[in-house]
Amino acid sequence: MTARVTACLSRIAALTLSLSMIAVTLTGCWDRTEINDLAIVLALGIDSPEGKGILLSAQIYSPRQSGGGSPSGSSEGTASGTTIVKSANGSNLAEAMSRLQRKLSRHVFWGHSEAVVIGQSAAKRGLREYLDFLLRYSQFREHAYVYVSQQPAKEILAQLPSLERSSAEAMREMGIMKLGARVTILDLAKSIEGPGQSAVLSRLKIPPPEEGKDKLASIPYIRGLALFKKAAYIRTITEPLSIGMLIMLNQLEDIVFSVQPDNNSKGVVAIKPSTINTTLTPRIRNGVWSIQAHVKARGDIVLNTTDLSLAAPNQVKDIEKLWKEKMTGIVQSAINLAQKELKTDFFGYAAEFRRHYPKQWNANLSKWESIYPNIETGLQVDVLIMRSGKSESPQGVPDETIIHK
Amino acid sequence: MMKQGEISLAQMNIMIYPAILATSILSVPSITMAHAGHDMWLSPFWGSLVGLLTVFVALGLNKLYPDRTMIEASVSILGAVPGKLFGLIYMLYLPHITGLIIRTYGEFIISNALPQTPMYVIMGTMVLVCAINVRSGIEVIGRSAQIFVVLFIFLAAFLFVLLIGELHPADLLPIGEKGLRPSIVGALAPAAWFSEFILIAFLLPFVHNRSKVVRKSMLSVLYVTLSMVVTNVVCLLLMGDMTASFVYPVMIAARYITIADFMQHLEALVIALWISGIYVKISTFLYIYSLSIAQWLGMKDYRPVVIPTAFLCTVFAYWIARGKSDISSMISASANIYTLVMLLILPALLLGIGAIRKKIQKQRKGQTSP
Repeated sequence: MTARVTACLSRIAALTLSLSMIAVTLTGCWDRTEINDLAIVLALGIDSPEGKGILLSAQIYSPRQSGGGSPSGSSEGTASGTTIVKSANGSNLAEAMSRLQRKLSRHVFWGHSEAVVIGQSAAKRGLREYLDFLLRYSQFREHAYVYVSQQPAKEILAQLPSLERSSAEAMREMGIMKLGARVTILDLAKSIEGPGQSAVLSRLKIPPPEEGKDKLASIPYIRGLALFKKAAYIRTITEPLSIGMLIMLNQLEDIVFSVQPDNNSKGVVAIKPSTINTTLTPRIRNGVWSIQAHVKARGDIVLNTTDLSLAAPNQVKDIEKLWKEKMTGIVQSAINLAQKELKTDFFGYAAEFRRHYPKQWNANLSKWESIYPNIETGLQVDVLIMRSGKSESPQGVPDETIIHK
Repeated sequence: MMKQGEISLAQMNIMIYPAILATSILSVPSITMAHAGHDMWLSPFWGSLVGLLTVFVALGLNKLYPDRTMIEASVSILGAVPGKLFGLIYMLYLPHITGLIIRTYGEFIISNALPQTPMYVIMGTMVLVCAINVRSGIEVIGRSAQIFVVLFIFLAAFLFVLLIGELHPADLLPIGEKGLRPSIVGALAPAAWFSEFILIAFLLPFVHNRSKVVRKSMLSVLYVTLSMVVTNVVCLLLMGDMTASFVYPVMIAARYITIADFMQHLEALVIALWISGIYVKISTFLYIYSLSIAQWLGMKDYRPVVIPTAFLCTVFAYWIARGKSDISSMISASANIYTLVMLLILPALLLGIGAIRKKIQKQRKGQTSP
């Protein structure tokens, strides 16, 4: 009898124990932070006002303004007004980050930041500190696009573009569309730590606001490139130098070249390249290091204000020739800038030599700085006009003026 | 000791696959690169030679004593006292390596997923599940391994396929820029992992269909090698020479995936992959440790010691390291040699002595009864 009672009791005890164990485990995740306790950062901006310390800004998604239908009844609900910008000072990034957290009632979550904007003032301090932090602190995503901005980064983040949900989204889309150099955090670190020891970043600019519009409503756009040598900012270049730079980097996609045929000084022919492909072939012969850059471009004519009919093959040939000359000039000036003026290997010459001549590369590793400016760069540009658009002969002029041959 | 359960040859190989890859997939690319440089993707090939050697040692031991694990065989080969002393080395080594595996698991989860959770909760829950698994017998371990390894392989393949668009094939060059030496030196870390193939010496007595064991074990080495090479190549083509600078390169790779604006933040998959693999790995090592202790003490059943050994291994996980830097030193070059001595050289010596004794016995037999 007693044995049965004890067995029964022990069974009850076991059951109670296991039930209480389940209760402990069912309480949920240990580290849970509910979504309404999170401040989700869409983009971060780094500035260094007057070159002292760091001003870290975060563009934070503001759920109150975007969640569901607004109570006031306006069913329209503009895309703008869904982000807020908070910033904090610090002697370094990590410090600024912890101060930023103190200013907010929610846990700052950086894992969704899709863009990193480095203000020109902060870029001048060198990228090293930012890169280390972005690649060390576990929340940041290595795929975030990196930009340099002409205005303070904080202002870029503060923009509330009417076309996109946030300026972070606008920057991310621009990164995907390859309107400039498409560089992620990982790419940036790779190109600085790699044999080339340099980096090229797109530079953002806020256009002046249109009349009568809110000054925060403009979309930042990419204008020019910022050049870095070993994480240190060296200079900013704009078109046409930046175009040449992008061609050499194999990053150019959306551009129009206009050429002026000499026999008709009034009009221009505009060509929109469909593909531009650059290959670099290294060569070491008799101790002479050289690089053969081969640019292959194909494009369509999108505008013709000359009197050429474009039906005759020799006319197209002439235009091709002019286009080729134009591209060669642009690319050559970019090469000269990199090799002669800045003496920085933006185009990855070093990586090419390492790939194809590992022995010579390793033997001359210490002398690379002096070898690089003296590498002979042979440039060959091949262009091909594929189509002339919907029209063949020029439109808007009487037939008699058109030159058919 | 009575036989407790049987597994098939395929199940054994399936248990061994994550037992080697689960921990190596995350940290080996960067450890290998530290020594092998750009040729780190070649290192697993050299490492696999050690794997083959270990397989031969394990199979050789099994050939001498088909129904005995290495711990039992050591007594038969070396005699009672030296055999038990040999076993004692493993009684001390096995909790060490199991503790290290548990700690690696804890460190990874803490640094990547649950930074605020106490370590004992992370490690404790996993060890508890594994201990239950081990107590249920080798058949359960084998079957659960079958399920989790499918998940493991599927998730790993899924991640690597999604990364294809981000890879730069040109980065594979140069091959052998400083000769083959760096890649061979770098092979030390993969080799240490490959020496874990000695698990065969513990598991094979429970395998019922052993006719194709040589061929299947070689294939097992091949699969592990290929998986390591693929992992290393993906890391190299994505991150280039920066691979060495990250603690968990595969984690970085998974975080890098961005497809069609919505396939992102897939790092949770790596954690799922890692947990499914490490579950099999901890279970396998815990089983082997519990079994070895039981056999070494001459117990009839290993089940009573499972919970104590699980606890001991968890405590070891705390003892072996204070932080991540200690863990790194435990998988550095000298530690790799330590692992190789324990998992390859000592068993090989045992096999050598065993083979010589067998030969002498045979000769004596030949002399006494011609």
